[in-house]
Amino acid sequence: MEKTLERELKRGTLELIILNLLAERQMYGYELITTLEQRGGSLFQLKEGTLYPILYRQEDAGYIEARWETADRGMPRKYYSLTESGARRLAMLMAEWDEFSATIDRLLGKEKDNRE
Amino acid sequence: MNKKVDAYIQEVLRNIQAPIEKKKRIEADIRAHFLEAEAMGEQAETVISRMGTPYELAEEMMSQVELAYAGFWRRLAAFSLDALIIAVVAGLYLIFLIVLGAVTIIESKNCATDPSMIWNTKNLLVMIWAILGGIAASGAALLYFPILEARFGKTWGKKVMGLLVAKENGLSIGYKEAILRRLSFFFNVFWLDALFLFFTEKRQRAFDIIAKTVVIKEQ
Repeated sequence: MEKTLERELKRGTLELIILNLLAERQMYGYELITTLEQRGGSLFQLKEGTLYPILYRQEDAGYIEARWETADRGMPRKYYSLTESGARRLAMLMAEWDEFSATIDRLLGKEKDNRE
Repeated sequence: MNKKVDAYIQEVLRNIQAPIEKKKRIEADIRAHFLEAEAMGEQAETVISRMGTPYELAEEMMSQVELAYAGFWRRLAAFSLDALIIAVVAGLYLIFLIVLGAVTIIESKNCATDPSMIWNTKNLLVMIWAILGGIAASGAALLYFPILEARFGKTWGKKVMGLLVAKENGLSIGYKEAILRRLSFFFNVFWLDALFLFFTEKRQRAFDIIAKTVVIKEQ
């Protein structure tokens, strides 16, 4: 059973995480799911029903675009890639995350580096 | 792609009422996903159990899809077409009744010797058939909307105007919703009901709100 804080935080950061992954390289749906699980562990074992709606929202907003590509072996794959608009969005979300997580850490007295 | 997967996908899509492009996107993604999983050595059954029931997956897939709500004029046009269809069929039945009546009268004149002969078995049967037919026709007129909307998400009028009836989350409706939204017929509140359309965010009639349904454009 997932804990409440984890669930809320995951929901809030999934867009940032996916855009960041697609900034590395274009990926197809299944690849996104396996990569997330590899790097995020059990916390990020995403269901298809969780991933695709986020991809749709981002695609409709113009942050990512989909393209069918046929690999050498002949199986067509639907690749999602980051757009320019998406790159800007990623930068914005990343900055937000940096600032927010640093603020939380500070509030909780968990400062990592000494500011000021 | 094996039959089980295909049946699963069909069931998921059956639950979805969305603009055509959005529905195609969902179908393409699910199909590609199964192919990709298979290429990576994951069993289809595992994928299906992770995805959940067709209804669950349909609901999740539609959760971020924006619906384009149909406005008053488009819906009125669709309704007018449906009313016309029902009127034509009712009209045809009326003509049938008139012809039947005329034939009966002519026949009764031929039974000049004994007018009560008109009430023979054949004519009685035809009369019962006519009455039952009338009941059936009225029933059909009443059921036209709920049955077509529950089974197909649209009536003929809606089909021509490119409209779909869906639940607020974009999923297909069942008989419960189809009947609930038509109760406005029984309360004779057509225009008051329709007036809500202008003031609600999702362009719903009063009885749409009650049934939790929306009418969307197929685009």
